[in-house]
Amino acid sequence: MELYELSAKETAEGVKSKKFSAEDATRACLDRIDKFDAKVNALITLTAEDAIAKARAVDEKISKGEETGPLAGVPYLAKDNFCTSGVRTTCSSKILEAWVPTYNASAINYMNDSGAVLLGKTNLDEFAMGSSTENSIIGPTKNPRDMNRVPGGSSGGSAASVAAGYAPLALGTDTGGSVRQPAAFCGVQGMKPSYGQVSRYGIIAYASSLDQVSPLARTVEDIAVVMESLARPDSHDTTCDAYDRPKFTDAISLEDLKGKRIGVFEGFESSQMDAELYGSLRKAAELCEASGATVEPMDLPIAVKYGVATYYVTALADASSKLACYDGMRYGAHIDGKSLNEMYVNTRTASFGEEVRRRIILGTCLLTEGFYQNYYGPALKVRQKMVDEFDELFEKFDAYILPTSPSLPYLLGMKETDPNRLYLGDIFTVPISLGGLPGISLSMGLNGEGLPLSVQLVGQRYFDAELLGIAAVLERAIGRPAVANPGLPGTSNSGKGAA
Amino acid sequence: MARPIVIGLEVHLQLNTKTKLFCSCSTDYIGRTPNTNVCPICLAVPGTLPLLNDSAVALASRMGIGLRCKIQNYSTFGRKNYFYADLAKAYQITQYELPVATGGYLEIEVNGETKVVRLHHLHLEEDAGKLVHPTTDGRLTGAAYSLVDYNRGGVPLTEVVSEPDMSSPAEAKEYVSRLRQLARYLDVSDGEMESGSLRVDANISLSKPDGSLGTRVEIKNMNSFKSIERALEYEISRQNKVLDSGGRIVQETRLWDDAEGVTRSMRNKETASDYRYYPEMDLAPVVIDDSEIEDFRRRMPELPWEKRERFAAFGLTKEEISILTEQRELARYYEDVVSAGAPPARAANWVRMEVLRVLNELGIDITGFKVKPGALAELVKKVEAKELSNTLGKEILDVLAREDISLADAVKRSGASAGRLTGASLDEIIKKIVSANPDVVETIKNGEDKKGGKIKFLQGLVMKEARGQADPKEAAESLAKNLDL
Amino acid sequence: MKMTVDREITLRMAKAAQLHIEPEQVGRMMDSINDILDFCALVGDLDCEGTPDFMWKMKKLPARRPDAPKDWPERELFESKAPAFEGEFFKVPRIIVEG
Repeated sequence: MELYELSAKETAEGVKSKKFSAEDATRACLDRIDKFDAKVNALITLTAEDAIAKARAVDEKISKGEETGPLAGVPYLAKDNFCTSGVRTTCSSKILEAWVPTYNASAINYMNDSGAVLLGKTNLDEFAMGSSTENSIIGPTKNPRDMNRVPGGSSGGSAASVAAGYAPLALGTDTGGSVRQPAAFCGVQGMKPSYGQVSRYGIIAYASSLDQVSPLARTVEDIAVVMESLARPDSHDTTCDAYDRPKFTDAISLEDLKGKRIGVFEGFESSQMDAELYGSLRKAAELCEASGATVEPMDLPIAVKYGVATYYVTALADASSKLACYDGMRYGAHIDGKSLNEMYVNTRTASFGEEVRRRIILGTCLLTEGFYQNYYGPALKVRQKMVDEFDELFEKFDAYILPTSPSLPYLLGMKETDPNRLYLGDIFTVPISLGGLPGISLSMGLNGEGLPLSVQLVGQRYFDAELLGIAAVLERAIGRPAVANPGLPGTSNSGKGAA
Repeated sequence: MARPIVIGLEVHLQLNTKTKLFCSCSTDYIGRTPNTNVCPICLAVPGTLPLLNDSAVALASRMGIGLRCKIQNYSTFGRKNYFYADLAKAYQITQYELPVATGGYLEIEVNGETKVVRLHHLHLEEDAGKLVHPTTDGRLTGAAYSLVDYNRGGVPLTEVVSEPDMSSPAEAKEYVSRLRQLARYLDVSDGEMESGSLRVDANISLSKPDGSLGTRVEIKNMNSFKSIERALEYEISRQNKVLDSGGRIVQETRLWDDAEGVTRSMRNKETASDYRYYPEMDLAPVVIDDSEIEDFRRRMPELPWEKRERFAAFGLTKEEISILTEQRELARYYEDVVSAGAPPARAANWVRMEVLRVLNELGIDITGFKVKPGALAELVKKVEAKELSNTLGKEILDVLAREDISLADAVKRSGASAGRLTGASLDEIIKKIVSANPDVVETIKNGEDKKGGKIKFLQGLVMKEARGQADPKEAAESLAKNLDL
Repeated sequence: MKMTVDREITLRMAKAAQLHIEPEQVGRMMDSINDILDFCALVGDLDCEGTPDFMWKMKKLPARRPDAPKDWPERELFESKAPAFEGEFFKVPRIIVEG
């Protein structure tokens, strides 16, 4: 196995046991980036020099026998909406194109403290608004498993990076599926933790009540390892829960699913989704049963019917408010005007992309007197109804299996224009976000054309560790995703689980 | 027929915290270099989140308890969205649906009558920054730009919202002064209108002949107690004139122009509905459990009306009580004088008449007063014991208030230190006065002082020469003896 | 209740959001808003009688921030890079004071 193919855990073990150095591991990953990223276009900013310096510092500590942390020498990438001190953070927007934060996001600090090595910042849809990573100042990222297709989004750069072996780990943010869907599209594992599990401090907001820092990796075990570094109380974020987290890495030693009650979502017409992905759902259900779980069909009538509408109202309204601070005064782009309003309008109109401007105007509308009473107000109550529905179902089940996406990765440039079909793309991810539940997009191997298959595992809020345990059992049956060689023949998964 | 006046007030108080409502920047902004009390949170740097100040919650709760509100176990914040240069996030974080305290009331007294003003609620919110509009070379046109200082941005405010229970400008003014007194007693706010730490917005309407409420007009920009009364009086007469001439009152916000003495319509664009309120999800809810509320109650300082009751037990008059309790520091000073042994009624008179006179002359307040309560108590006791005359006591107080001198030295310097003038020393003074006024002495001796005016005149001179240290009765007897009467 | 916007409301919303829409784009934006309003009107269909507004529940609420002042060491660096900072102030086009 090449160094770039190792998991994060294997990398850290190798570095600590001096089988290879952190610098070796880092250079192996930087080589992958060097080799493929001109085509994949997953990175906005590469921090190779800093990475080498950090890797050498880790090696130095190891040679001195000092404590290094669970991710010692593990290369990782972060979506370009995580603030990084001294490293520009663009959010893929012209408005922050040249902005260099003076502080690190808490998640970045936790990774660094764990010994991980930041290689750079990954591409995303501008302000995380999108699901294809096409809507970016640096242009679209391509799917390493099929370069004609999108990697999903908005954390498409992070998902593509992990799939292409740029790093065993990447951080993304998931608002309504922005990590789970690209993980599914790129054939890697991606987890959105429970809301309140990981600090949002230093994440450039899209929607305050939905955004969650979410890791991507090629193994469930790596997700558990990185969650152990990420999930902790933070005095910089009062929405981050202060409770004591369980040990995530203990949970994944679960041997089988005996005694687990798994619900398999059947509340849709199979015509609404890709047949192969439906097959993955059935297969996951069979694997659960084979592992000793009780499997029963289940439905989420409120979540599925009202989820997307509730999500749009919530997220757009919040986006209009959170993106109002970009006024050209304190940071970011600035275009002068003859009056205060003219300066605002000039700066914002020229520096936000079209989709972002559209969403801000929509969100402004949804919060305006009259519209609020008919949209935002009811959505707040529908959201609570959805939470109640989830709570009720979790009395019967330990976890649900849902699709992550109803479709396989689609072709680049195929902008969905029919809004109803566009909304359907998020139908299985947004209810989970609205409910604050943990959700894992689990790779189910590749189809005959080499396109990734996936399912989504969903647990009760704050039962992230238990959910990782179930995912680990399934992953052992399916096999962990292999690294893709973008644009080269022979890209494949590890075989065992190909549907 | 006069239309009944209906006034409700929204009073903003800057809370006495060390740091801002949602970040650790200092609130000490007056006189600071602009934009130095700032940080990523109050400058709305991407990725930052608000962190609620514990003291702000405690102070707002304390104010709520003082106003007999119900302190809510669970309250939340919202965002009031609008663009302005002094508002970094382009939204103000404020409480609107579930405020920290609800209900409550405040008693006011106008023209000897007590009235209860009910409160709607009390909530927490953040202040905005400050705008500066420079002028070029003093010309009226001014510069082509405005400047923004975010030092005040994010300073905690509590807004006390009354029910429309006031029916005259005098009541409104009295309500604000009682509220300010309470805030000061509780150390919640310094309540200075001039520096903007207490701000008042008024809602005023004139009722219709059938008793139903008229159209409400909001008045802002009243920067002093005087201007509250003036602005409301102006507005009442303006609205009466409009209605008398058959016009209609427009629901709007008007700004008080203190120089011109008028209220002016703000362009009608900023109505509440344009602000776009919705819940703030970057902040956890504020949970104050019953034990914490109990703790706030236990730590409540004495309230003004509790103090008034206690002072009444000293046997003070209503007027004395009102003056002595107006300011907590003055009340405390008075109490310290009493605890140091001065009789309560005499001490009240001294503090009210003499201490306040001296403070006024010196242009200071009681916190800067040099005369320690113990010294004043001693002085009052000496006067009570007739060791010092009233006049000399006052003179000594003046000296003590202005110079660094002990009471003993001041008494000594006044000439009263040897004790009272009596016997031979008094006799000496009398002889001096008698020999210096032969004409008067002769008139008396000739029996022409029928009304006793002349002898009184001589007695006065003796007392003056004795600097008040002689017993008037002994002086009179001695003088009579000297004149062989 | 389903709502719609016309050109005028569309422009008003853009203005409130401090964004300019080219005249030839107003129609498209209006259609886009109406699409969303049409789709999202669903949220009004569910009977939510007696349901409280959504708010996150937490296992353990973080402590409130202690009232202790802190300095920001990077302040001058930040201000030196701020696009509208000059001298000691943030500078904006002249605001005409109302009244």
